[in-house]
Amino acid sequence: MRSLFNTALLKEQLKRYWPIGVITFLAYFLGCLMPIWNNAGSKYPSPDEMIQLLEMQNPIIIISNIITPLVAVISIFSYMYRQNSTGAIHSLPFTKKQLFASNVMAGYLLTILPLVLFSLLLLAVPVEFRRDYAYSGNPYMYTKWIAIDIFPNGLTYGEVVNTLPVVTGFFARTLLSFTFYYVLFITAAMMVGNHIVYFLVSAVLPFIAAGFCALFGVTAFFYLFGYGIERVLIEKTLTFTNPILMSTGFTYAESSEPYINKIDGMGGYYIAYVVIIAALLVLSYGMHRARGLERAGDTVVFAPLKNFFIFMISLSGMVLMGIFLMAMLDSVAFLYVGFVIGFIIAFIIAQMIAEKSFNVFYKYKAGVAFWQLKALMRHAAVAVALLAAVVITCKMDLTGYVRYMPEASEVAGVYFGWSGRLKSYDPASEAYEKQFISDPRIIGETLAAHGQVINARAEQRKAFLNSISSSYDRQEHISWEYQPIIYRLKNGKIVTREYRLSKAFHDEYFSDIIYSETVILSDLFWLEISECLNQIALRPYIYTQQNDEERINHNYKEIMIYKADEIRSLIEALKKDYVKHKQNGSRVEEYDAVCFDAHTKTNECGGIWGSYYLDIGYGKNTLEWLNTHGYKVEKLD
Amino acid sequence: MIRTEELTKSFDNLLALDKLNLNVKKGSIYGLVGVNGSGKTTAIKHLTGIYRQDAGTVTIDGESVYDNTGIKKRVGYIPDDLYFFPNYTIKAYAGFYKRLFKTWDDERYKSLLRTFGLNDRFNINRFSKGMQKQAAFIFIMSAMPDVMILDEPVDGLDPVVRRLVIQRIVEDVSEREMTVLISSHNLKEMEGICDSIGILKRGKMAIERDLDELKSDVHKIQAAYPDEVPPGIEKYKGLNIRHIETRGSVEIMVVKEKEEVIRRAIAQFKPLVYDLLPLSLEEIFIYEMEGEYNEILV
Repeated sequence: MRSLFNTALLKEQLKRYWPIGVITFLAYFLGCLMPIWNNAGSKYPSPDEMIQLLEMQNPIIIISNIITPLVAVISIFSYMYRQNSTGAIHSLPFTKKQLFASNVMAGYLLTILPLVLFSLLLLAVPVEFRRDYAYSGNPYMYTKWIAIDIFPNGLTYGEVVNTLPVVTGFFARTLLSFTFYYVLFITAAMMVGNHIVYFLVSAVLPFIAAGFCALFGVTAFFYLFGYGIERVLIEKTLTFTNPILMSTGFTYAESSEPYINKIDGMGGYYIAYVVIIAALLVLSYGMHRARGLERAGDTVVFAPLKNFFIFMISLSGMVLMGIFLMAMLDSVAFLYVGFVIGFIIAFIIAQMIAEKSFNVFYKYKAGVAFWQLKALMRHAAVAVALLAAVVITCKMDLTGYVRYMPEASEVAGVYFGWSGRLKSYDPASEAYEKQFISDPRIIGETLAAHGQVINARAEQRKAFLNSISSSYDRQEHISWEYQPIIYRLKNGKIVTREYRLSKAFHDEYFSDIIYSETVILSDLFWLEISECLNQIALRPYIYTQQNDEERINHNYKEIMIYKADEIRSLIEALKKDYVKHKQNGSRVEEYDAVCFDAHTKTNECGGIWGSYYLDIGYGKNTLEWLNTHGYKVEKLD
Repeated sequence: MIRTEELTKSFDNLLALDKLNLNVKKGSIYGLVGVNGSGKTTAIKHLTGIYRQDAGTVTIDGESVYDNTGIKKRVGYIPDDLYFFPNYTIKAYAGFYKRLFKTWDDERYKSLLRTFGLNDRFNINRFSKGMQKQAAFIFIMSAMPDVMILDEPVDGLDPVVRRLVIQRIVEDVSEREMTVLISSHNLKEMEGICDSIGILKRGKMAIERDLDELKSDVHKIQAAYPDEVPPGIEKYKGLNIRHIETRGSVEIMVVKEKEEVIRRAIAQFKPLVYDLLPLSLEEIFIYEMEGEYNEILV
């Protein structure tokens, strides 16, 4: 049986491109390890760098996740983009399978060997968890909320952060991310026939799925005029198709969404990634076998892909120009004019990229480039058909999406959202349940307001068009607000809608609901699970006004409350102040009066974990509570 | 040894090879000639396993070439447009070839380096085109291939090196029965070393013969008549005339036929003088290609 790899080629490629691995390692060593080791040896060591690194939050790790695989792939496979190098390599004694496998393996080793070595070195110097503001008597210390998954039981003072399981977890997650991008870039390399297009396609591929969502979501959004924006879907797609975004917390994930540092319940996603990586690898190999070597140097080596490439650029140009002209000229008619102009311009640009020439009108006949015109018409016909499908579906509400509203009898609870999303709790947990408001009055009022939104579609269309206008005068008159509504049905189904509404409309139908005490406190549902709270840190501050300038003074000692009975009674004071502050629009109520930030810390309990922060503003009730219980607001020394 | 049957290849709408049949005998040197764009390089890229044919077969020793490591290990290929890994010295490249070809001969490598006077510590990509060709030749010859396929091998080489290269190839053919296919526009050189010739015309094999046989089959005739040349080409019915022209009472012809047949055909018109002139490969090629470059030849 023939070997899968050609060792001579594998060794040669490693020999040729070793600097990629060495530079990557040096970046890790100098940018990550040195600061950590340096810090570990200092008088007051801080584990922050190490924790940040283990969370995949270190910028060098993030950048190398993209750059190292990108460079490794183009270096290893660059021979494919020139006729002479392709010929020279393919005439040598290895099969296409061996050539592909050996090259892929060489690039992969260059990508991951620095990571392996780096991960091993991470274990070399134990970094202990220490903070210079340790509170005696309380074993639980703050960690950043994101580290909770990596350290589910928190970290105690003096505990080693970089243990073998934690570093192994870091290595495995980073490896998964690296491998994903590496294979994605190989897929890009196999599609194209020259270096420039490789970089272009590599830049686009990680966002292509989200791009599709955005393209059709935004198009639909224009025809729905503010109804049902699927921002969450776009973000989910973007996050799921980019492990690096998952790791950086670029988007906030719900419990059911991927989040690479989240270990519990992520098995399915890890497996999905492995499956996607395997599928991309198989696809790449298929393309490697199928690509005609005579195509070396072409923009895209597969004819159908070339047409797709031209079409997608044309379609994007169409949408962008349409939006641009409509916003510039304040007219929906210019949306369509922009569509036509944008499509033609983008089509010509796409042709130039595809043909690698500015001279794409070389087949002239009677002054008109018929050849181009025919191709343009073909592509435009597909674009018009797609657009027509979106317009008809949205305008006529063929899916029933726009007019859908659940019956009051179906609704178990409503939630007005944390930027239109549910919080990241396990659906089986108490916390997940508690974030919904089950008060029938609120549910009824919400459904009524929702009904008004649906009935006032024409009015909102006008508001929307004005809101995107570039005309300052018109923007001044009509401002708008996003209003998410999330229903939890009795059958467990979640229905999410988000509307862009004129401020006047919003004030009329939603203000009473969302500024009601019940809704405001629904955001603090976790305070209801008081047995889970083990500390509340109050950070006093004062607003002052000097020479008409507003200043904020944080120069006060933090007050820590640990006792369970005190926590329970403090919560009531906090709630009162919080509701008042919110109802006042979170504005400064009184200058020179004591305000509070409250940081609460919970153990893993009832489905919630981590630290929660709330700004309660002017804390009259909180201050009274402190005085009653013998605590004082004192200035820092 | 090397064989293509009905080999067909198109690039988009351009038919580059049109049912090409080619046959190279073991231990022979085969010259593949044709005008620019006739499909020589495309054919070679099939013989070296670079291109996959649309139809037909390409075999060496009865085995398909494409994606066949076993065959590729026995084939040495020097393309016209050379490629070397950037910043590689001759020594480093030789190391790569040594690992790839188990038949690599170190002694021969050293000997060839001495013969061509190349320093193996130099960066190949800084060499002139001729020196790069020499380096490529050293690598291929040191790999001891059974089959050598060369696309314009002596292009860019000075006459001394050219002779050295040809001498080494001929030695390997006679000593090791190496089979060689050369594509070149230098027909004088080809004439000196090739056993057989294939002339490609628009992707098809126009002529494929042993060189001696080809030369014995194509003749240039000068016939002088007492008054004027008997009129009309029809008078030579049955002769395969590739070219004919009249200068006064002298008729000059290039005929693809046995000498005896030609002599009999012309004798009936009783010429005063009848000369059978030797034809070089270059002349045969030019007459064969008449029509391809009508404007130039006229």
